[in-house]
Amino acid sequence: MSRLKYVSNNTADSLRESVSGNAARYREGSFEDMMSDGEWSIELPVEVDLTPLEDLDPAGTSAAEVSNSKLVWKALSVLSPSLACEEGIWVRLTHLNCLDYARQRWLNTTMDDDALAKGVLDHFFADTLTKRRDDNAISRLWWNAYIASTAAPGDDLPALGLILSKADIRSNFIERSQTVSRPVLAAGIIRIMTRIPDVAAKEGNYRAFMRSVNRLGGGLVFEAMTDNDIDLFLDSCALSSGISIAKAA
Amino acid sequence: MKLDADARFPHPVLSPDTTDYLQGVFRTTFDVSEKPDTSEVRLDYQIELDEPTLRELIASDHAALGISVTCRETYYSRVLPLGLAGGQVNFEPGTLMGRVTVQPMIWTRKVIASFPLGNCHEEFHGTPLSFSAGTVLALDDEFAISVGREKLAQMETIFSIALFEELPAGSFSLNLDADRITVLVASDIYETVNTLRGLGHGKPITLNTVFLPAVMQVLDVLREGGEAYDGRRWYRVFQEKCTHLNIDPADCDLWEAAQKLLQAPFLEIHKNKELLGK
Repeated sequence: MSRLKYVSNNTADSLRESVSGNAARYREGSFEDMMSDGEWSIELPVEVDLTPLEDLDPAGTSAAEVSNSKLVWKALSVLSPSLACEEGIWVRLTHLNCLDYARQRWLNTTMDDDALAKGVLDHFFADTLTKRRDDNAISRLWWNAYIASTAAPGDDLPALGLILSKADIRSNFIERSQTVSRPVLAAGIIRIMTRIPDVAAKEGNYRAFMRSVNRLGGGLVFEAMTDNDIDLFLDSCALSSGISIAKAA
Repeated sequence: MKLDADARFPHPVLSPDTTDYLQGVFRTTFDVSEKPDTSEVRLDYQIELDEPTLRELIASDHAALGISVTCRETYYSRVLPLGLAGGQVNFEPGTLMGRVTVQPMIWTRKVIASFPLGNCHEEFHGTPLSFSAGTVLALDDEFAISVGREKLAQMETIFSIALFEELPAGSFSLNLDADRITVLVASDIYETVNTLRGLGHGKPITLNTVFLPAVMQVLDVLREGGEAYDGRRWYRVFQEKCTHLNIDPADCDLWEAAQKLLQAPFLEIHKNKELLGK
């Protein structure tokens, strides 16, 4: 275990402004030699073991996404959500500890300099909510795991496989933050995806279902409802979006 | 989807924006304390509720009073019960960051088979109303707080000055497509602006003649929505400062809001003895 470190805002800004100049480092080099020049190793009062990050799989498959999210959670579940908003943590990880993974997952050797710069800006930095949640090579995995843990608590992140089973589901689950950040509702959505596979199985079904949840659920205090009441409400959302609930267990 | 006053309800809701009730007030008052370094946030609150039907429903545990708290940055969204007598809510360190909205409300905890409509507008008198658990009965105005260090950043840290030779003589412009708000300066006055910024009695002049109108211009741009600048550091800091100072860029007096953001900049002239020849 050791203290988690992050880079300063100035160092992150300087890296962002020097992406083209550092193209060779992103393609095949490293940033180790730059660590003495800037503020690369500011310590946080948080003890972590980053060893699991050595096993990140750059395959880009749904299975790899699930196992990678679990690895990041194993290493960094101790982070609070507000700390996870700090760009410097993710910039340090993508440029040092997880550089090989980030490079293999999000860059490739055939990219021209412009494509490389875009890939780096998207996946090696985390200066907005969208980049933290969807783009940064490591923080997106942390947010996958965090959101799955709020929907269905447990060390093995039981909701993760469902949420990441399709890109469409991830985007409609995780990007609808106003819905899934309400744990009782997120848990209900995970239950209906399990009870009625059609909600998530067919292209477009899930998107239509979530639109119904938003349309019909405005003004309801789900936190005062029983799980059964929430399930009945979500069944009605499935029906109103054209999904048969006959297969309900 | 979040609970808010924009939702339309087919039943009476006691709120500052509706006349569904013939009389009665639901008013909440909050004092916010924060330790920015640890993101520890505390709300001290007081409740005013003089509508007898709702008071009775709360007393009999058929309804509850509380706040819906939403923080987009940290995926925090909870409904927290409050007591009629007032009290305190403490948020665990690390749960909130950036803009946090708080919606005070009253909701049903249990099924209410026949809601007492005696104090409601006559348009509701025709049909008896029954409510399931989780129905909103009252709302007070939503408010927002800013959690974290961004709001404390000096305004100067999100501005920079740059020479722009294409500008007409003696003029300024703004570039918002950078991490800092860049004040572009025509070449004939660029040196003068920089000289003034370096002088004790020059800073109040640039603050009032360059930065005050620049802040007004930024507010004017944000009036139309500033989502295009979401990735810019200045935007985040600027928004947090606005939230902290209770400024709504979509609906504010530009001059008044800019003076607030720059902490009454004319005072820097007013208290500068050199400028006043004292």
